[in-house]
Amino acid sequence: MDGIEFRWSVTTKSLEVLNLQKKFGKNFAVKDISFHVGAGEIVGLVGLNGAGKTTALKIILGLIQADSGSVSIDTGTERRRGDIGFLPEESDFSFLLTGYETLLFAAALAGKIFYVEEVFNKTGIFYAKDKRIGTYSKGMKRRLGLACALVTLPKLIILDEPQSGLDPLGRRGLASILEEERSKGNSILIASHDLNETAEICDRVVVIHKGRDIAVLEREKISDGKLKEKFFELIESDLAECVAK
Amino acid sequence: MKNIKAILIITARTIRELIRARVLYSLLVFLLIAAWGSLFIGGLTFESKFEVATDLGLTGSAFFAAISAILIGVEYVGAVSSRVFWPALSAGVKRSELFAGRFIGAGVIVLILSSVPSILLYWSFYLLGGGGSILPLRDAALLLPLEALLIFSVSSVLSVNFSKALAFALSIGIWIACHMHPDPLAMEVLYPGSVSRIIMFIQNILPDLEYYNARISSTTSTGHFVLALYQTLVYSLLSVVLGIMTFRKRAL
Repeated sequence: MDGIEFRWSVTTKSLEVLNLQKKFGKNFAVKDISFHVGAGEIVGLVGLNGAGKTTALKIILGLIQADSGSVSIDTGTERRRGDIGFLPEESDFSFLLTGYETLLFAAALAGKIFYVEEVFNKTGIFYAKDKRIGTYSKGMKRRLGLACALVTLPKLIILDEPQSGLDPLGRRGLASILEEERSKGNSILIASHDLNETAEICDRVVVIHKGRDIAVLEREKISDGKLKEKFFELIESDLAECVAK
Repeated sequence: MKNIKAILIITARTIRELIRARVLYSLLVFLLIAAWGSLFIGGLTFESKFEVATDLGLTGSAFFAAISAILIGVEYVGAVSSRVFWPALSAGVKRSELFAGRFIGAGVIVLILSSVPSILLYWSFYLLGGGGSILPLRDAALLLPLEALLIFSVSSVLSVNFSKALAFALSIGIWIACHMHPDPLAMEVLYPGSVSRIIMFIQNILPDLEYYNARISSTTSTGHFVLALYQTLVYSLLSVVLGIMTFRKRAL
């Protein structure tokens, strides 16, 4: 990777991102983002559209290269396939395959095919496992995407807008799955627009605006619906600062 | 070993996807109906029924092979950069493994699909008493898959670097260009100076696809086939290397 350093080290931080920077043409998509996710922690990345959340996630996952900064991932042991589970913002699958074949593919690549049935049950789409994905609804695709992210028993789970497309029952199921993963000591990073649900499940929230992390809010500052209020306050003061500059 | 296992898993998935793609079967059925229909046109000629039918069958088979190969390359190998494979890449699958797996899986289907029309036509014309005039169809069953594999390799590389529509258009353009053979002397007269040199340079880099034309080389020798195979392997291998190199650098 040019300009970015990827390290695998033994720390209590499962993921550490330092001074990430990425430009598309003349515009900064990510200007300066730093945060970390500890073992057994759920951290949220919140921000407006185009704030740089998805770009930051893509850099962490190695899908695009950063211009500068560093990403350290520590999954406790030597890195193995399937140590990172990822759910993209929009779940996209080959409509020619069945749900079972899709999940089996993800599991087989990591050599963990024994958990396929279990994960199907957990995500609530066991009944549709033999149907072609072309017949799946948006919510079912979302659940399948989540199943693909979990089937390799990852230590670090990265979810981009996980609540999008899920019905209330699905959202409740997602929250309990995340809770279970946290109790196992796995680390979870969530990028989301949904401030209420993010506040409910996250231990910490990083507020991103115009490609920068403008605040890190701990649990006590985001609980009881305080995140929404704090979020708008931060965004407005940052906008005012930008105008003043 | 892990790399080979990952490539095999991806290859198996690609083959499964392609076996279920109905559009390819539709193209094949359309071609066979058209080619068998050519027997009727051949029947209208004076004692040239099978020559005409063979000629039309070969044209159809070559066109079908090229179009299918380009479509498969653009749609199925080009899919490596789509969102479908982001979770796999994030989970630690190497880009080279993904490209190689998709390429091999789709390549196997291209080889089978491009040989089927000429084999079916040869056997059906043979049973109808076609005799020696249908031999080019038999040769085409060997040569067309090689041509298809070559143009599939080119379209695969293009699909990684360009949009689907552009990769498809460029592949068609390259396929046509590879079938053309401008005479160097005539080129010098038509375009004097550096223009003709540039055109001839491009011509020398591109593979010679007329070499796979069973109508021209109707008495295909083993040597001819070996050379065709050699040319296909060289260009396919170059394409795979180029495809992997560019895909590794690509921002998704």
